[in-house]
Parts: sequence; structure tokens; C-alpha cells
Amino acid sequence: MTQENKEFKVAVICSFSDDEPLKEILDAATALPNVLFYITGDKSRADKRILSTKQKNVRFTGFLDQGKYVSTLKDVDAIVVLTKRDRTMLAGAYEALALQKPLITSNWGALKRYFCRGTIHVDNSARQIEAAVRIVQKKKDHLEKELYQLKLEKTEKWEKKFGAFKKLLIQDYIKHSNQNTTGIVDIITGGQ
Amino acid sequence: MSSVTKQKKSSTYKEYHPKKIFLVWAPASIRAENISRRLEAHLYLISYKFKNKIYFPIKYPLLFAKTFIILKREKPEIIICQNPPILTALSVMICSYLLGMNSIVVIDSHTGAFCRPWSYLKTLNKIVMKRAAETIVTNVELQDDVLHNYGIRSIVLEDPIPDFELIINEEG
Repeated sequence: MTQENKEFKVAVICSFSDDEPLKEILDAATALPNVLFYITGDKSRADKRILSTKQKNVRFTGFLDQGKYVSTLKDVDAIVVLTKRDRTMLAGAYEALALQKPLITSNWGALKRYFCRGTIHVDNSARQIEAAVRIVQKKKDHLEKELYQLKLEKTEKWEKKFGAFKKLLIQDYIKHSNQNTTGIVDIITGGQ
Repeated sequence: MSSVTKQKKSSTYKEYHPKKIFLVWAPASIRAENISRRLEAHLYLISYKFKNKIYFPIKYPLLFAKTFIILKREKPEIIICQNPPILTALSVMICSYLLGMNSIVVIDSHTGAFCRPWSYLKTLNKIVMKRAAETIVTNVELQDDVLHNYGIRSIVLEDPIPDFELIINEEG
């Protein structure tokens, strides 16, 4: 089966929080009837009016255990994780990177800086989400290769940063241990 | 001789293995799970959910009590607290004092800690973060915000990229 004939599948990692553009995602799905959208998470928190607009190509998976969750993500062609809230990093985006699945995420500065390759950034509008899925359909292999490189690079950087963080904790601990126990007055006043 | 005293006598970082716990007042936290795994810290996810909202005010005293029990039992030397809520770190500081513990508190502040409703507790956030040994945040933009709005210097530590094979194997 060629890539063109195979049904294109997208996972939307969702927690149905207020900061997620669920309506826009469902509108994008309506404009992409040949793409299958799996929306993860417990939908009991979602607005019922928005859920009622769901088309046939949208499936709500409900809350999945870790094994089923990972196999669902492994099985799709792209992962969508969006937020309307600036300065937010998304666990689902790290998961897309871990699995090297082309990522569609929001175009906030922090997300653009970290997920700088293999990723399509959108303004959370239905139109841009739809366009991003179409780009991934065309450039999936290329985006996957970019994510492979990005994963190597970020893993190396994180390990270095984490090593420094662990060292800092030990330094803080030694410094603290060498001081006397802080009193409750010091906690409140900062020792002033 | 206490473990604290033993550690004081060590001379290099490699010889220090302070007991660490990661405390989260929430039913789940992917970031805390991944970081605590890498830090070899015991993760405690504690939460109470009441069907009837009339019981909501007793949630925090219960979480405080649970925190006290955990700290008394574990006697950790490094305690990482997820924020929000800032009440986790505040409770840890109070419990540590009550238990006479000589531990350090690190606050892992997420974006939500600086948004409503938790932004209403800005002064408390500021006081508690100032008393923490370190505050960690998830990105540079948030680090700038925390410095300008709270006067707190923080460290950026992104989430580790999850290793799903390891996670699934661990969960069996």
C-alpha cells in the first residue's frame, strides 16, 4: 500500500482543558474528511456542544493506560498538541519528539524555540491546523528525519543541563547542611 | 550518626547521595514522573477529590496532614515540590520545621502557577519561592517572567524526552 492510499492518522493529545482549542481541532477535522483523528484524554470535562460537532473521522479514545496510549501514538502519522496559553511547554510535544512523529503545535515562542525542527507551528486556528496536516501529509518523511536529529541534539543538551542541576542540588544541600537548622521565624522572615 | 552528618564528612560530590522525594499535590504529572525517575527521587502524587463540593475546603488540611506523614516517614534531605499549588512547598517548609528536618526545598514551578487562580497568591508565591533553595521552570520566557514579576532567579529545566520502552517495562 502506498503512502497516498493509506489512511492518514493524526493523534490529538488532549486533556480537555480550557486552554486547548478543541473547537478549532474539530473544525479542521471536518475540513479533512480523509484524515482520521484520534483525540486522547477523558472527554467528560469537555463542552458537550463542541463535542456534538464531531464528524465520522474523529474518534475519542478516552483515557488510555500507558501501553495503549503509546501504541496509539506509535500508530499515527502525526501528533497534534495545542495550547492557547503562552509560556507553556507541552508534555505531549515531548512525546511526539520521543517517537519522532511529525508534530503540529502552537506558535508560542517557547514552543517554537524548543521544537525548532520536524514541527509545524500554528496559530490555533482551524485553517492553520488543516494546512499543517496537509503539509505533514506531503513532508512526513522529511519531518521525521528532522525530528530524529532534533531528538539527538535535545537529549544531549538535556543530559548536560540535568548533570549541572544535580550538582547544584548537592551544592545547595552541603551549604544548607553546614548551616544551622532554619527556624520557623526564619522561614517567614527569610532570616532577616 | 545521622546520614546528614555522614554526608558532611564526604569530600566529593560523587560521595553525596541525599535522599530525595518529589511531591505533587495532584493525581498525575508527566513532568514529575519523568524528572523523578531520572533523579532517583521517590515520587508522591497525592490528591483528594470530593464528589460534593461542600467538602472542598478540607482538601488542603488533609493534603497537609498527608505531607506531614510522608516527610516524617521518609525524612528526605532534598524535597522537590510541584507548583501549583504553592501550598505544597509552604506545607513542606512548615512540616520540615515541625519535624526538625534539615532538608532543602526545590520548587518546580509550572506556567499554571502564575496564572489564575494561583496568581491571586502572588505574594505567597514570592515569599515561598524566596525561601526555596532553587526554583525550576520549564522555559526561558517563564524564567524572565519569574525574575521580573517575582524577583526570583530560576533555572530552566525542560522535560526529559520520555523513554517509552523504559516506562512500559517499569510498569510491567
